[in-house]
Amino acid sequence: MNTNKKSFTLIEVLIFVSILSIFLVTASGVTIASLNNLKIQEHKILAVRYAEELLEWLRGEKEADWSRFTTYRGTYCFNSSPITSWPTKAGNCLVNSFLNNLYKREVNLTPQGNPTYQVNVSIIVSWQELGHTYQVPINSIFTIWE
Amino acid sequence: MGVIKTQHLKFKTQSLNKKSQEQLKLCKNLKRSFTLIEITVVIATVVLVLPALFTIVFSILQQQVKIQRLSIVKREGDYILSIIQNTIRNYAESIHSDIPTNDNKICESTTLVNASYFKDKFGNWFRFYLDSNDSISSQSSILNNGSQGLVLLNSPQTKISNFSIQCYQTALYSPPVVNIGFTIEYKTASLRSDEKATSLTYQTKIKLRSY
Repeated sequence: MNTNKKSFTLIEVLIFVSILSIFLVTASGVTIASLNNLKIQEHKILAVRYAEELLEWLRGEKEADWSRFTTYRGTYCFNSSPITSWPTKAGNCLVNSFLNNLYKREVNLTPQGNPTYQVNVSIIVSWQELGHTYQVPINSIFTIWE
Repeated sequence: MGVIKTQHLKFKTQSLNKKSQEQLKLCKNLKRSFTLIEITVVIATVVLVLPALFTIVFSILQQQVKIQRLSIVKREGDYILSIIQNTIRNYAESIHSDIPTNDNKICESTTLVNASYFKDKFGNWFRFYLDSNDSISSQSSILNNGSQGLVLLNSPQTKISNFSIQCYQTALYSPPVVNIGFTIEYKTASLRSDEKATSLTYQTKIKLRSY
């Protein structure tokens, strides 16, 4: 009589549960990884935008007044968007004053020649995410003749 | 003889009854159903797992929508800025306050004024303006294959605000400097803050080349 009463054995249940859990853990791992990736992509798009914004603003400054533009040299930190004015003094970004609390947007200006005929511009937008440091660099050259 | 026969018959019916009863019992045993505990455990598990699953799927979808909108906004913003910048820089020869005539030239001093119309070296004029659908519209022959006409610079998916083109001169006889600025964002009816967040500001200054 008892042999007719069919049920799963412990082994069967264990195998099923372990296969299911392996599958679920893998699936959630993949999902979380892709979510992180999406987040990084979003930050990258914004970082490129911020780098281009600074380049356009600097080009505007250069077009407006070349001699004033060439007085700026060294590293400057632009931690607000949209940009309204030059930072009060040169220097790297401070830890607690990042753009959008995430990005470090710095530009390094190196004027060439005396009188200056060219300024090398090197913009780096960098940010930290999940233990990695990501960077968007843009380099350009502004000349007096353009 | 008759007694034996009836006894035998009686026995036969008794055994039959017993057999059918056993069969009935067996049937009852085979027809198992879930107990209340089992159902409760299953429902509790489903209740725990389903929301987690939906949360993950929803957040992925949301993030994807956000990225897609951001990339549309950035692509169109970049396009608009480069079109306006290149057209004005390469073609504009003089700047006017209205449809160009000889006496409405502007940007001949160091004060900042709104620039509406531009004239190229062939005497054709063009302009960029914000239309009633919050799109930037260009009325020109340069962008419209040689004949004067309207060209929309952004798709109906995005809207523009704070659009301005202004100009001034840094010094007498120097080419005018033109400020271009606008804010572009994704057009959505949703009031959710995370869906509205995609808005980018563009601004630059250019100097006319063929002044």
